[in-house]
Amino acid sequence: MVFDDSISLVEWLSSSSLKFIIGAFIVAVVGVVFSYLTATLQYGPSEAFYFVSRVIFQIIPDFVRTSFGRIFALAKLAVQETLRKKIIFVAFAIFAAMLLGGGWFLNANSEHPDQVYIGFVFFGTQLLMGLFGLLIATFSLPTDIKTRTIYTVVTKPVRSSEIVLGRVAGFGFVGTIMLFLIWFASYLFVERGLNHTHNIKDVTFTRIETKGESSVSGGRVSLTTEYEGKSGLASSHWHLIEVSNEGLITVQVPPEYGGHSHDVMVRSSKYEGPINDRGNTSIRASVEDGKLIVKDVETDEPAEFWIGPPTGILMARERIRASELTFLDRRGNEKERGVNVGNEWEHRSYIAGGSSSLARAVFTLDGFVASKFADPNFVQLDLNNMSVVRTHKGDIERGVSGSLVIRGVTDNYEYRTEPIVFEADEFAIKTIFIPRIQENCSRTDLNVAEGEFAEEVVGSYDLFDEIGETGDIQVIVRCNESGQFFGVAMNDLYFLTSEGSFAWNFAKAYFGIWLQMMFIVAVSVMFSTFLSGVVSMVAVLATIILGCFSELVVDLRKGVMEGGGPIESFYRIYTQMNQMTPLDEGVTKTVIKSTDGAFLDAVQYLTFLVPDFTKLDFSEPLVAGFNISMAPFLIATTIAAVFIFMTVVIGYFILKTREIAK
Amino acid sequence: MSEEKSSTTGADKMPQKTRRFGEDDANIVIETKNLSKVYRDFWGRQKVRALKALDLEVQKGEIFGLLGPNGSGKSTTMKLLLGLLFPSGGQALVLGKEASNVEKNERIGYLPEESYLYKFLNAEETLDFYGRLFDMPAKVRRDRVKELIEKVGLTWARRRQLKEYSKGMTRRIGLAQALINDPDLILLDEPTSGLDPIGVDEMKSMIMELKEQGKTVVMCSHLLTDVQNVCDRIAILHQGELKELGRVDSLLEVSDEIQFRASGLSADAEKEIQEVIERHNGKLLESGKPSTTLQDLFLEIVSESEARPGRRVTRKD
Ligand SMILES: Nc1ncnc2c1ncn2[C@@H]1O[C@H](COP(=O)(O)OP(=O)(O)OP(=O)(O)O)[C@@H](O)[C@H]1O
Ligand SMILES: [Mg+2]
Repeated sequence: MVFDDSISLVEWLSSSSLKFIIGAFIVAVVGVVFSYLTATLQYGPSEAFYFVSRVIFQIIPDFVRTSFGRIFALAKLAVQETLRKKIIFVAFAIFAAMLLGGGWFLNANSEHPDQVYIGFVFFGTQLLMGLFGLLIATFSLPTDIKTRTIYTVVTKPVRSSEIVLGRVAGFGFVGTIMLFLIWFASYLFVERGLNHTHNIKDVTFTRIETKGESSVSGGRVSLTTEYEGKSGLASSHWHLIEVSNEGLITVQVPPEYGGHSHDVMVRSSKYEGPINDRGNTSIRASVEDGKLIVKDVETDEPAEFWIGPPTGILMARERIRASELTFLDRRGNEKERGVNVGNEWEHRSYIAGGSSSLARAVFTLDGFVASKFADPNFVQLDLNNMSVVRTHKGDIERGVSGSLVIRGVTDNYEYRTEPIVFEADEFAIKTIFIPRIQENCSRTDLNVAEGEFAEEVVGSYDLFDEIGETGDIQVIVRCNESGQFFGVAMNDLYFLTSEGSFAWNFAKAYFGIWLQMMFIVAVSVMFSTFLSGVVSMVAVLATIILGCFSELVVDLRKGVMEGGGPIESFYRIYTQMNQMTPLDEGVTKTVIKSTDGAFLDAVQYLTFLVPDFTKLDFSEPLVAGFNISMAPFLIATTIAAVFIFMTVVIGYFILKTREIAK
Repeated sequence: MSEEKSSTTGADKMPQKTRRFGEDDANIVIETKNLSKVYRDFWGRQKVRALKALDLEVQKGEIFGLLGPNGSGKSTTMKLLLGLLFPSGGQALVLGKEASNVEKNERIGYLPEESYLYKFLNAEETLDFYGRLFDMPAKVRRDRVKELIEKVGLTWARRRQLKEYSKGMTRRIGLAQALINDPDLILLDEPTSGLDPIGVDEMKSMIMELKEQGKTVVMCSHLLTDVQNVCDRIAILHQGELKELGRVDSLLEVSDEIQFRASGLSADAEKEIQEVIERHNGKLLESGKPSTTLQDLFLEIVSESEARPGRRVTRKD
């Protein structure tokens, strides 16, 4: 399941609300029929009718008389219950043990220590808060009924809605305080664990003997590198520092503690910032007697230098993503999908490489405006997780060469930039910096009289003011090597606009956990209005599982996943049939397909009644270092609010129709 | 036997025969008609017929006793009146409203069989909590809590969690809880159970006090002595059926017996009186110095020790 922030709240509402209304309507009808039937068993058919209609007619008076004072009193009681029964302290002890234990194990080197760290605390918090909500909220009401303490409450002018709401609010409050503390601790844990710097002052630099080869690490360095050195050790890793022949410094990503690098920062009276090919300064580095000297080459003033905080981790990058992805096949015909290279389960499409191939992937992006970019003069484009399929080895040391063209169409002109060549690495982020002023860009006049050739002018054009004047652009990607393929999906290409605050992003992702926790509390209280503590727990778990897989069920129904439903899967396993082999036509196939269809339909209707839990989970963008944008944030909040409201309403009904003293 | 007692079946006749059920009448606080309860399991199978066609009317300002042996349906009746249970048949109106209607609870106080209170709260918090459920303003609530804690004699233990309370103390705080909203109708399920003799006495005088304030009290008990002194009218239930309904004084009055009590008589005089009774074909059932009951004795000792609290200390010296 891919985190998707491409739909806005309004789009989501318009596509989901109908399903939800149908679902809610089904619940209401089923609820009334069910309560009539159970009441019939108890009181006979005519009394039952009277009973059900009386309940329905009391909804409005109950609603009008709902009192915040009472809800507050009941919420306070729930808080006192949790605190005095000391459940909360147990939860904290578990979390502390988890962090300590985690800190011990997570020190191991990994390719992406940041992702491991953040993923660990995030998942741990999610689990802990979920369990906490589940435990405190499922057992409270059943205990209250069993010990009959509820008799003294319901014989006061208390509405059942207040009992349900009070509990949700009270447990929610305790959970909120707890999550707040855990969030704070987690942030410190991640920040302390990952934020580090290295010593550069005492590093001994040596001259590169063979161009492009490092004698310190044994790996490769840039061809322009003259000196290399090994940074000081920190967090059990070091970096190779390269000094180029132009006096610029780069810090390599270490292989064993990957995912990050550093900028070497400099400060003089005129400039403070990184000293690399994007730093706009006259400060340059050189090496004398193995030691680094940094000074302003114009004024000869020496500059301070140090290694900055890690880059490439603890990020919250903002992006502009494609809103559409189409393909051109080898002959240049438009297609919705590219080539299929054999893996049915993959959502990527492939474009064939080679100079004769006209296959292209066309990404359409809107909202491409200069004001969104932190530095519009150098626009950063990322190719993330693009896959590369080689039919022959080629130069295995190097990535597969590709190129991209930015195309913009305005009222009068069509622009096409000069192809920008890149090397694609399999499943890694490929970052390309694109200058704002595009030289050798072609401009075609669109307002030509019929029968005349359109005039094409090659020149320098502005990426935002001219090429992307309308705010819409296309990025057209091709693979340059014949026999090789690029696999792309909509989310693989994006422009990085600005760097948001990681701390803020972390808080936003934790807000998602808060929504999940509140939902679990509400559902737990709802189930516990009519089930015993243990049974409600099982019911809540089932709800969560259904919520996590609702997307999968919908996909299955759509036939996106070819494996089929449960019966077909069982049949395939039983007959040891491959997933790809089509079933033989005939009665068996019809029976299997239709039973599966009916089953999935039923489950699908259920999933409309359960929130899509994955939509409340922001771990994916948080861990990958992307800013959690407004739309998914609002959608998650709406989902949680609507479903919490619904559970409270259902809980109200059940509690009201229930004979408390039985 | 009194006149009322001669009509003993469940369908007891009330004074105003022309009144229809549910008709507006400010003097009628509780009214049930054919009220019955069958406990069933989830599948609707009958388990117990706990109450059979009960017809009752409780008047404003009276103390009404529900009597009966264990399992006779007293608590079931109370729960039906409170809406904790739904009737299997018949109807119950409380303060002019349907028993299942929460709004009636504004003017009701209820003390359950056992005090079902939150053990993790202390006395003040408990009363404050129930006060909030009536949306009482903070100031009123605070005063009321203080007043009630004093009234039930728990000032010394008001900050202790209820899990440390003894049974009688819990009962007291339970009563305070039932009175938090200054109710017009108070339902007490076995109010004296678990109380010491002083407590029983205090409870009784508190009930009388409520009556003086014009409140209506419905209490149930299987202890006749509890009921005897305080109730105006009683109903006796047995196996879910109403067996007896009427005024206590007339129910307990033994019409063919007369009791004499006198003091300052000599043995001769006593003999003479005995002869007089025999001459009139009467039979002396009992004579001699009337003994005080154990309860009276206990009360005497305690009140004496309360009058002179320092006594044990002086004796030790
Ligand atoms: N929840 C219940 N489920 C099934 N039967 C019940 C339930 N509660 C009470 N009963 C039955 O209903 C009958 C009346 O019970 P109830 O509690 O009203 O008696 P009671 O008069 O209050 O007795 P006690 O003096 O012991 O308090 C009994 O036979 C009892 O077993
Ligand atoms: Mg009882």
